Amino acid sequence: MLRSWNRRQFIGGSIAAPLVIPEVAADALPPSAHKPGGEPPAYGVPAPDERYVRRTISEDGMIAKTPLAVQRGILTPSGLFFTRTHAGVPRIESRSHRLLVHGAVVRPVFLTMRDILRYPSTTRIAFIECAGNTSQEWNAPSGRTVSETHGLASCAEWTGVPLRTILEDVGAQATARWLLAEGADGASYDRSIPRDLAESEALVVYAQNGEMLRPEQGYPLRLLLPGLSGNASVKWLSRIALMEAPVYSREDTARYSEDLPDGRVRPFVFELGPKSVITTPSGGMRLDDHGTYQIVGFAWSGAGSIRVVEISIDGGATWREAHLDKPILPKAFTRFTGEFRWTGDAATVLSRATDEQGTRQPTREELLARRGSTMSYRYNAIHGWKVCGDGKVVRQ
Amino acid sequence: MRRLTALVGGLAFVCTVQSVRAESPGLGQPATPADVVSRDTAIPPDGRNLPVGSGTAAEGRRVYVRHCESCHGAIGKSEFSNSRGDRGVGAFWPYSTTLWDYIRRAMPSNAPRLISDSDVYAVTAYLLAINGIISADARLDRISVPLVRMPNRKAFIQPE
Repeated sequence: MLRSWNRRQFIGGSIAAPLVIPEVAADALPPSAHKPGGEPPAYGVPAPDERYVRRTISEDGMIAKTPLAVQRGILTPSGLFFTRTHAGVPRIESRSHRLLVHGAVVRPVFLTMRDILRYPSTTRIAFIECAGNTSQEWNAPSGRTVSETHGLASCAEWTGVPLRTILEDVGAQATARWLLAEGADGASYDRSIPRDLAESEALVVYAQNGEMLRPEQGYPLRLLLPGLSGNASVKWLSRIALMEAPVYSREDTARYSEDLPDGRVRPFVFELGPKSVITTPSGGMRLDDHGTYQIVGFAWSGAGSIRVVEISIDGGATWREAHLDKPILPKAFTRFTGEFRWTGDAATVLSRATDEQGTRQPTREELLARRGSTMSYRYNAIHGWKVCGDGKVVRQ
Repeated sequence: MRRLTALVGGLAFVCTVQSVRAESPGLGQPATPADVVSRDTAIPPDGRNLPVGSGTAAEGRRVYVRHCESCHGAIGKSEFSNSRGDRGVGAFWPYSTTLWDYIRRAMPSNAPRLISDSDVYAVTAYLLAINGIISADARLDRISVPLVRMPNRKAFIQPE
């Protein structure tokens, strides 16, 4: 299956020579030029040839990974956005959904979706990355395709209400330094979040990529904490409590906390460092001919914008700057490209991102030295792909 | 009279400032204390929000066999075993309230909130007893759960 999309991936690059036809015979036109086409569907779907573009669903159904190898721009289509659930995708009716905001507030309230839609809204582009993205690499380099290794990150345009607007409207008290966000799913998934982290940029989101949220993205309401570990962006948001201390939920403690090399555990770690990955060429693809190919990939950082992405085609011996496509937005995917001339020899392609803070994506060795090997979350090391002599692309 | 004018002017100024600040739309239906109690079921380490009811490990074993074993397997071969690397309940979880909260919140996963509060106390007691954290005959309730000292609590760094 992978080989088939490989070919599609690279065939465009191999038919560079223009065909010169002196006289165009009517028969030479494609069959579609000889008859009227069909009606557009009321809600469009991908072309039949593109039906192979699918998320990869885990055996237990709790994880759906984005097919990054065939994501063509910085926005992940809503239907391909990665999904991590803790109790499956609930069915929630918009008209009966209510958000309870309470705790250290002057005015505890239930907000309906009609209320939420009346608040001043804003739109921005942001990635979401699961804390467990690329986590299998902590043990050893593994994974075959970029969807398997990095497919728990996606990027979209989001529309909603700044959390600050709602907190001001209910009279949130300054003493409340924490908030609890809880979902209406079967796990009543909940996270305690430091208020200063949440309040600066958080949105209470109802729309993604220009339409109301998809069910698996939290319909009808979710939290979005741009740049922070995805598990804080609670979906199916039904309760926000303003608190003076964290709840220490299961997700606050047994999950998403950080094992330090000295044996201690740090809960409430949300920061995501600079990260990048080459999506073309990537694992499972195959280069058909020698010659020039375009390297394509995505870079992102929870600390802000991407300043530079460097590419190596010799396993990290030498690096050169990749071209960054605009827009280069904070806490969003940035698309990078570069040129790769394949001579037929084995080659290892790598990318490394540096964000606006000047933080550079670490090597795997640097990351392990700093954070130890017992970690399971927030892996962001440099990732490579090996192009073999026969053109197959595999894990470095 | 001049003083009065100044006072009125001052009041007008205050009112203007307040009306700018009071632009908040004031949306939503008020939630009563009873509404909040029915929805705020999270259990922080101090045990606030724990309901009435109680249970023992022996009772909990029966609940476990009926509602938990089909997914979690026999005790000793599951995530409840005393393994810190697996983030097991006994070896890793810092607060017993978290265990109580999570069982009620999310378990059994095919019918969350199905089992009674006393059964949640009982399963909590069972899991803590097989880890040697409480005695096998201890009865847990809203008073005793927050008093349980979990072995790994000291490893957790307190947030500033």
